[in-house]
Amino acid sequence: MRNVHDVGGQLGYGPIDVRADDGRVFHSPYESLAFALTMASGANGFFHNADERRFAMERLPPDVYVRCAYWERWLAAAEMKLVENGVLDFDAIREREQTVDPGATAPAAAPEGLNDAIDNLIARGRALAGQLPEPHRYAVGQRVHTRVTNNRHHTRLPGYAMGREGVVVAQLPAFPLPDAVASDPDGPSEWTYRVRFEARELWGQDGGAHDVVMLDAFESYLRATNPTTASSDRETS
Amino acid sequence: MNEFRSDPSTAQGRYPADPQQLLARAQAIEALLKERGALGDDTVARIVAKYESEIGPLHGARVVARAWVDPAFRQRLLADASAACQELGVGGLQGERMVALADEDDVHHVIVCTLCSCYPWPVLGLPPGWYKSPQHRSRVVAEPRAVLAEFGLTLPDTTEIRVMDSTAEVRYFVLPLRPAGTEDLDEKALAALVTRDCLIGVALPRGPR
Repeated sequence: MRNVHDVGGQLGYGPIDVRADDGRVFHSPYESLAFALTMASGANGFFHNADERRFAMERLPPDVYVRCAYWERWLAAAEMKLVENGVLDFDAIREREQTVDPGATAPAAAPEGLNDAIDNLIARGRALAGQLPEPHRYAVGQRVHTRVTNNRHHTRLPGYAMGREGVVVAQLPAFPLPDAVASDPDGPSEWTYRVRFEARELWGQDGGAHDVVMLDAFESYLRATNPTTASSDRETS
Repeated sequence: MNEFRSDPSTAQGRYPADPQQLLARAQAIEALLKERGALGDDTVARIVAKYESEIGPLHGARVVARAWVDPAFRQRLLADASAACQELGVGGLQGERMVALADEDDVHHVIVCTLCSCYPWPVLGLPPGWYKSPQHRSRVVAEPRAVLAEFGLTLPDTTEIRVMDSTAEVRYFVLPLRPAGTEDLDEKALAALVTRDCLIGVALPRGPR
């Protein structure tokens, strides 16, 4: 099953509007506010990780997801997680937004340490990459198959690359497994790999003969290709 | 693991598309966070200023120009992009583990995030609208040459196009080839040739005419 956000290879979206790019980062006051509230809430420890917010966006009903503007999804995810993580009350937000001046408050000083926490988050980021006691399971050059799942949870294996054969081109650090930490912040970490797929493995004869897609896969997304069933080299004519 | 389920707020009634309604919702959240003692009056402005005026593609351009003039730096950049960028004071959130993908004479890279909008903020700032659009996300993995053509970039049929889908926590940017005719340019002049689109891979740096 593929969710609405998993758009790689979907048809029908049409040409890219390259002329719409005016170089500005935000185009409406709500956009910068949605971004800043998300960042500040992260620095405040109200969010555990990016995957729980990604998963919140993915849980929007498909018609809503498609129609939402990009920053609208950020706002929706921030609201969902602030409510689900027990920081704000859903009804209080909906009540407040109906008032004449929803942003009116008494002057508020930044809480102790918040500005430093934000500066630190932006300048240093998060310590996500880690090591594991056991070595990487797959070697560079090894042929692997991606798993196929009827995934009803958050995952970072795109649908277009499920059940396909590729080759490991780099061993990458261990990161928290998105499938787990989207709903359990204490979930495990796994090694990751950069995996290379020939376009024709993904798209059949419609794939370009000299086109390649690479993605980063968590270890449990992969299994070693059985040498006896490995597909032969694809035609490149 | 949680199964997909609808958020009650959106299951009843649509999410408002009107920017005024969205602003009211964002302001309501901001006010409630302030009243909870979790935000100051200046918190939002400080964050927005950083991403509107401090963190942007100029940093990435400096990194590329340095790699073009300094082979040892280029080597360090390809071995550990985050550490090399740190030498130039470039790094931070969404760039904790960056990898630079070096174009070659017959290999061209282009970056996407099909599942959301992952992007190396420290070298490029926040992504442009088209990068986050379903048009780019859906199509560039399946028909990269058609997408590049829409940006005005046509590559030889024999060039291998490698589309990098950013699906885990590594953030990628392209190290393009140094254009011909730039032998006399210094590092600063070279950096001026490198646009944001060059680091995403939908454009090539152009030398002086």
